[in-house]
Amino acid sequence: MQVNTRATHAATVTQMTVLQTDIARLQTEISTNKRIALPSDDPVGSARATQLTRLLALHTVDKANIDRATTRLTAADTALGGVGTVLQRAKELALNGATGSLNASDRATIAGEVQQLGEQLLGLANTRDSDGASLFAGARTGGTAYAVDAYGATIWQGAGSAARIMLDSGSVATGLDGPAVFAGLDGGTAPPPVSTPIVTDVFAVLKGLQTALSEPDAAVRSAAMASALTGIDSGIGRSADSRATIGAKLARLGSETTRLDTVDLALHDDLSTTQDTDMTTAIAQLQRLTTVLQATQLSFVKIGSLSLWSELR
Amino acid sequence: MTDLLSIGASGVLAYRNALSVVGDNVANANTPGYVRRTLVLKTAPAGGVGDPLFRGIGSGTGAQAGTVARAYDALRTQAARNADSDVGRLTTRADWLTRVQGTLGVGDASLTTRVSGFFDAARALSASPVSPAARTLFLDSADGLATQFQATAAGLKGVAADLHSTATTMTAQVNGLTVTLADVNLQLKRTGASGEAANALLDTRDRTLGALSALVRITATESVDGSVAVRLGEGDGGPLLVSGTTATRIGVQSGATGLDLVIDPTGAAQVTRLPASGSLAGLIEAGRQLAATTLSVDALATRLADAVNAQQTLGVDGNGVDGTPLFTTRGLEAVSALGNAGSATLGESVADAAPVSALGYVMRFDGSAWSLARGDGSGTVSGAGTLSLDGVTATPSSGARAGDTFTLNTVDGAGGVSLRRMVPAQIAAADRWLSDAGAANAGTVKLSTATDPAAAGLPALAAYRIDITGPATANIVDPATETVLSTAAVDGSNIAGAGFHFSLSGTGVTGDSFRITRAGAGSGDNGNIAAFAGFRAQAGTGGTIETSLDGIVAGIASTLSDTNALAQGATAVQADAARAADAVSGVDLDQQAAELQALQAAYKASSQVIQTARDMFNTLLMAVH
Repeated sequence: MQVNTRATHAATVTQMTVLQTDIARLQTEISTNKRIALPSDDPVGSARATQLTRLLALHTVDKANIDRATTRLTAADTALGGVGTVLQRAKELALNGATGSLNASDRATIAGEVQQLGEQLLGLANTRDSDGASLFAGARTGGTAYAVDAYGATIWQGAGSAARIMLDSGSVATGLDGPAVFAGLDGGTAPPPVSTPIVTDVFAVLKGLQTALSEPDAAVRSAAMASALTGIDSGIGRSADSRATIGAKLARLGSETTRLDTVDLALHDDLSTTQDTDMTTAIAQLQRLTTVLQATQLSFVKIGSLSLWSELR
Repeated sequence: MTDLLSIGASGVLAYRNALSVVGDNVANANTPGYVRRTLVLKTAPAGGVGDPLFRGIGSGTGAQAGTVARAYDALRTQAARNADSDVGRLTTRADWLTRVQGTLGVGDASLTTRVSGFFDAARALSASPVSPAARTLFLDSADGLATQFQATAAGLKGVAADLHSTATTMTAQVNGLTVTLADVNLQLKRTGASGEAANALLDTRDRTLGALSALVRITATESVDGSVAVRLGEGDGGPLLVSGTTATRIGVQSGATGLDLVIDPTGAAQVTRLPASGSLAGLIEAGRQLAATTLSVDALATRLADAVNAQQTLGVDGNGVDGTPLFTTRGLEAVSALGNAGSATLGESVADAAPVSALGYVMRFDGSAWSLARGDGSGTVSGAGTLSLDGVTATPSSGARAGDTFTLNTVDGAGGVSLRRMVPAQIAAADRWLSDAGAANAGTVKLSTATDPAAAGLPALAAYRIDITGPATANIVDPATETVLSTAAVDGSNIAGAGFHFSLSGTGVTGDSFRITRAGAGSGDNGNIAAFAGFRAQAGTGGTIETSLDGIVAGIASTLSDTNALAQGATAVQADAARAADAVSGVDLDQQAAELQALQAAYKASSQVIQTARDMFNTLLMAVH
């Protein structure tokens, strides 16, 4: 068999080009630490990497969302703590005011403090979060949650319910709505313009206590004081329950964060094995390829210089 | 002695010929397509009867140069050509698919990332629906998405245009080569299949066939006179490209699924099956994948934009106003007619939310005035310069001549998606209707409301109250006037409101109440944006938006990766086939050197024979003296 000089040259050059290309590819893989530069390098791995990257990005958003909800819920919790304190003090004052030994001016002093407590309570109910959104106004976060109307009654200004953040497992409300925290208590009195239904919120209860304290008739006063006490007790219970609800939500968000962190660790691991360069193998392969290329180049020069023509004189 | 002289002379002549053949081989060692020549020496035919002045019967009659043969192996050459075709098809397909893959982008600049980023921004916004920062980020990501869709569409369009012109160039090359072959066939008929002239023609023929088969797979059938008949594709069933001295042209035309290959495009045009291999086949295959990708990306863009727009219009924006679409889904593109004589160009702009006709528009100049009409000729407006129709404004520059025409083609799909001019407050994140239950409710009734623009069962009010009047009955009350508007059943059925519908389910307790209120400005509700974020998980044709997109990317990637792997294999086969063919036809310089040595020695020896014959003749003459 004869060896075609041109074809042999061309074949060797092609071989060297292939080697050079492989070496360049390995070099890129090592320097970028990415095994997959284009989807076509590994369609399956690339699709997997896309999904993992997408999940990781989603989890980053979710964690930020959870942080935000946590801030909001914590603010609500603090406000509710304040509400509890206010109502405790109101209860002390009510018990104190119920004592028969007090005279009218003592009761007026107490009534003054109850009014202060009512204002403090309104302030707490209108607490806003760091973004300036009302905590207890349901979905109407732009305005204040409660306002005093022309008749002196404190009315909920909100509507709807607090926004819910989406988690992988359902959703969590990012707050409690005013009526659920402050209204629907036992006892209480009808607000001044008598209409249906009877409003039994903490504001009305405190208002009732204040009115009762300035009631001259002892029998009426004592009945009204008893009703107010029932309302305050119910309000204390409600604020404690609300804090428990918030605590449960915070706990759920906390465990969700922990879950996401754990999942993300696994995802990062998975992503790394999917798309990162296996350095040991890559470097060993690079070593092998450079050796082969050098050998090819050397042998090409050696064989190329072997020619019968150079021997012809 | 004269016979010795002539024997010597014949040897010198023969070896001189042989040496020139070797010289030719060495000179052409690097010429592609050159087939090694060999000169076969043969004994000269025996002379006549013995005669003093003629060669004796008993002696030989010397050597004679036979024909110069080409060291050609038809089968191996054909195999090498087919291998070339395969490599041509696969490498071309890989090159173009790489470009198609590139249009979808890599990493952060990819369509995949933009789509996911958009959904992520929606999810982030759902947690802070009133935050201006989250709204701005959402708008930015929507803009990024629309821009990426446009860039992808432009990229795909660019690749398609390049591919089309490359296909046209390739068919022109094929047509040039087939004409050359027809010409060679004609000349071969004159020269016959042997002789140096024929050999050069045969070299041209083989070189041309080689170049042709890199472009399209061919089946070449040789006749005795060396001329070839060339068929497109494998086997005898394909259409004839070269038959005798006639060549049939091929061309490409746009078809339903991409480009189609056409035989005799200017005559009896006929669409033909794509040959099994060759660069042109690879190109057209890549073109079909490109066309499919373009269709899928367009469908995806339309589906996503329509879903976003539909959801937006159901909600309420930050100003308390009903939401409006986020994206424009149709653009216009001005194309000047081929026959335009003037130098005018046309600028176009589309007003926000303009009802752009699907038919497109035509702008015409009659020498004094312009007229703008819809694609079907309706709604014509005319005037001296800028014209508007359906919110589309066309502004011609000067330099138009009578009869100049511009077409405004609609661009739908990915290329037509763009973000409307919006401020962050215009994002409709909140549900339009909010509902809540009375604080003292004792029953189990649940109220659910949904926006329903068509519903008109109640007078339009800003708020409604629903008072439960029994286990399964309720009154719908206007809270401002305390008038009962209507009654409702607590049975889970949909009750039409004004722009919404609601349903009550459970068991009622008299005295319980519910409110339905229209969301106002700065609503902290996230129902609408959460519903859109939920659309992410909604499966349509080909799965969710993201899985469909992954499918498009993976479709190209796996074809490309397959093609690359096949191309590697085909290149190895090609190298083997070329080596096998070259082993017969190629020039080995060392072998030629050896042959040269041998022939040179033989030439010298033959000269020596002549010298000897002369010496003998001289000796004889001296003796006669």
